[in-house]
Amino acid sequence: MAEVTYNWPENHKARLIGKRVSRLDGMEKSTGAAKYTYDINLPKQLVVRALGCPHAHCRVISVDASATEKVPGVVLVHLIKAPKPGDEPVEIRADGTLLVAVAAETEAIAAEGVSKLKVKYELLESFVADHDLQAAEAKKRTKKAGGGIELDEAIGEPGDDDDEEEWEEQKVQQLFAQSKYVVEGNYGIDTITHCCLEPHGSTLHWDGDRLKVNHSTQNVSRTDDGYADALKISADEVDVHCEYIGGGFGSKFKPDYWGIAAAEIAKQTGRPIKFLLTRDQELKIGGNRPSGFIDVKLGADENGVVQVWDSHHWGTSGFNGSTVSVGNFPYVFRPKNWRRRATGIITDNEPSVAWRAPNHPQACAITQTAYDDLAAKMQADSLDIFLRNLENIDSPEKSLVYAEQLRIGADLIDWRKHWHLHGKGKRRGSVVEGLGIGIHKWGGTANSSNCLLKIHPDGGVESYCGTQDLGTGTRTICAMVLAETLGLPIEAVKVNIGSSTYPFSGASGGSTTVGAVSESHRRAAQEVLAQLFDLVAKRLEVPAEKLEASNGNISVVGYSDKSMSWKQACSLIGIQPLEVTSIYKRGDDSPLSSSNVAGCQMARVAVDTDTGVVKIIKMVAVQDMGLVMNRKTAESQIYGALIMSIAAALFEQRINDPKTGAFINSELDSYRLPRLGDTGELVVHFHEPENERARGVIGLGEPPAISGGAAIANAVCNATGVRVPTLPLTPKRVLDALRTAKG
Amino acid sequence: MGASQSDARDVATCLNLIPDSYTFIPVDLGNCCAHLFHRLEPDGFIMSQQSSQGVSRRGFLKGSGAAVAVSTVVSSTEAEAAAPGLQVVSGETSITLKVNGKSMTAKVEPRTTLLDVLRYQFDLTGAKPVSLGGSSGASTVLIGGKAVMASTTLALAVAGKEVTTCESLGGDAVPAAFVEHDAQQCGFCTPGFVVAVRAFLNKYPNATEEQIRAGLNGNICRCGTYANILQAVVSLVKGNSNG
Repeated sequence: MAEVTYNWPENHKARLIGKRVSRLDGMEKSTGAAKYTYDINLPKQLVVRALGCPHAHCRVISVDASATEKVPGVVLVHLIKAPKPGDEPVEIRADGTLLVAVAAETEAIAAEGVSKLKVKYELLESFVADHDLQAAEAKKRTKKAGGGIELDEAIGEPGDDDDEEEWEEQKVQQLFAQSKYVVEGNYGIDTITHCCLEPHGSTLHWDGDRLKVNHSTQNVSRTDDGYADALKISADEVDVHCEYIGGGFGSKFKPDYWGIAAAEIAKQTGRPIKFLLTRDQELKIGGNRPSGFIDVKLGADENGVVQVWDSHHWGTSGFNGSTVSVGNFPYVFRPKNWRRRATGIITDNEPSVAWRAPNHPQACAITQTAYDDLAAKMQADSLDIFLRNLENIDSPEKSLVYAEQLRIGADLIDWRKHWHLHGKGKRRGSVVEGLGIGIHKWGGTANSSNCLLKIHPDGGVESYCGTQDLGTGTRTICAMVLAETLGLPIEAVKVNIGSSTYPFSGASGGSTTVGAVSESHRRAAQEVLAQLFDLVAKRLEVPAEKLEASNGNISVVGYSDKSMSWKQACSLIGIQPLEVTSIYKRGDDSPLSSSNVAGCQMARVAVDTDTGVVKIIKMVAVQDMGLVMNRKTAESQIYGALIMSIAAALFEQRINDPKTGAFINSELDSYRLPRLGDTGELVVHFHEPENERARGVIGLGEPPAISGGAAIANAVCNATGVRVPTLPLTPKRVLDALRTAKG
Repeated sequence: MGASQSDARDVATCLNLIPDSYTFIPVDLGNCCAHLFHRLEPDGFIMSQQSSQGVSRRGFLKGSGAAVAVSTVVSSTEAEAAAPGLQVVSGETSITLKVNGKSMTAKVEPRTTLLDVLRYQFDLTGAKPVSLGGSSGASTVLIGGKAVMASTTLALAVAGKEVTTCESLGGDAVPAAFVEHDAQQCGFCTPGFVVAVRAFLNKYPNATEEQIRAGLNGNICRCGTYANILQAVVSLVKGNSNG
């Protein structure tokens, strides 16, 4: 067999790749047939509910479960983070931390059992004011979180006798003195929660010594390790399954301590266990994205090109006290001179976890707002200022891409027609309108992925891969790649994903999955096809390289009479199925996938200056992504990302009670998310210049979820002429900013 | 120094100043539950908001004023003890529901929700437990053709009534339009949305885009499929569903 050259079909030959293909499991999802972890009911299962700590910072002294144990139907009370009688108190650092689990015959009984637990707490002082750096310093709740400085070479180096910091300070101040425009501002973005609609958790049972877990996870292939480590068994004794997952967004990579508790309770009771968080617990401990606040000073030349950036930002990732990574400040833009510093704030909250495009949305929202304030100060067009500053960005090779994307975005949102200087637009009653921009970047390198492909002698095709479909359409893409490669209709391939018993595939995080499964499935299919071609070539007495697979046939290129049906060809395999396992390792050089995208988003908003309510009129997303796999689901990803950006820009925020530290809006009636009527007109544009397809597949999940917040914040500033510094731009904050500006 | 405050007052503010598009038009509460909750409250039968099950296992009051038709065994002593015109149902009892055209029997306590019965006794898991207070719409089902949240509806209150869940809509045009327009990502909210759309279109078969934007705000999608759902519903009104 000749060595296989991996490649993608040319555009005009592709039947499925790059086309609009409906997701294969759409009907199952729409009619309730799709079974999620929460939906799986095992015979004789017990349902677990847990008591979440009602205090942000306390010691748990003791637990009295006697009343709980008397509730008919309660089977077991299990301490999670609480002391056994006689043990030392357990310190708790986050509202919602699970203390005691109750396993019972029904959810209602478990909940009743939880309500009857009597717990003694010793309250400790809490701190949750993540926006207030001075208060955090006074309470010794800060941690250094990195920083650095870079000055243009022409400025030179400090002399041997100079104090380095003093010298740097002097040079930075000189740069500001030389600047034509200086902007000083503070900006912020609150913590938000993942709020997966299917809460975190598992439905599991022991089969002898083997743990069989249905787990709502983005990491099917590697969650077994987490269970095994904690339970002191080996990973080969744990099977993890997840056919469908009700949202993850970066928060579902591990068993979590309640998953481990479920396994322990299952062991103790000898019964299957269903343990998923309540809504309140999902918001409190199921995952959150760190906040970010910043003091910025920037200096620009007469053209509005930023020459010096000086910032100090802070925020909280919970009680581990980290903040948004300093490496991305200012975001995308990179002036020749910059100094930046970060401080983490220790608050009594659950530690944050990855959130779609970790660090990027916050960095974008609190730095590109400063660039827009430069436009406001200069009374210049924001689009021009963004375009001019493309001469100093962190990936200079992308500046033309951004320029083109900004041009396309401006056309789509009718920038020239609707633009007015900041605060100078027409007023209709109390309503003003405005435009804003954000730009972003992301890697999107393919993750490692292996795929076992079986071709049966009767023509049946099935694949096995331990990946997962978060709702991005992964399952459909696996089938598309196989069907395209083998020349079969998409219905002819049976794709199996969502089990740790299948060949390894990397976790779905960081926009790595579409590349991963495209790599592994294309490779497996091309290799299988090459073997099949050898068999067919012998039978037809033609060279294998002259064969092609299309329309359910294997035929000689240019000689349609010389062909075999797929089924006939497969009958040549013999009695055992033809099996190939492809192996793709992250970072392997490949013509099938690559990385690094740009992208821009623009927003047009209306602001009611009497009520402070902001409405989206229109948003535009311009996005490059290499080779588009499924045009339909790729479009959905971007629509969804725009809506998530609207959510974080206008609606959602974790609110901690300043006195008690409690997370007080942990239900969906008070943790506000946008509804269908809140989204305005959304326009998605795939940026596909001539060479784009040749880049291969690049992940798409994160990039469009980054710059919408900056675009909306800038549009509100353009509308009102007033900067509302902190996202979400709630009516109160809009009104506060308008009042402050009036003086 | 210091960005704007995120203090507790924001909650009140964001609840008071709700944009006018933020409405909950199509999805009604179970028609009798809200009424019954009021009657139960003085007896302290309502548990805290944190609890998923809003009613005690002890008792379920039935009254002529509550317009409930429950064909179930009623303990006569408790019924006599209650106020005139009211009856008390207590303990576990069997009821019959007509679900998707089939008569099905469930064992329920007064506190058992319709959602619990569907998911745990009938294994109809399309309706989802997302926000048991009902603000997500994920547990939407039809009762007598009306959209109702199964998570806030007590099973006893719908005994004998016709319940339609998303599982019966396989041949309906709504799921097909959802597939065609990719109006789903993770899919956890989708069944609730499908039922809400069915109820909405039954009432407003010729809805304009503006009416659709105003009328489907009882359901939450976290992945952000609203744009696709809007396209799907517009296509259903137009009578074609071409993606």
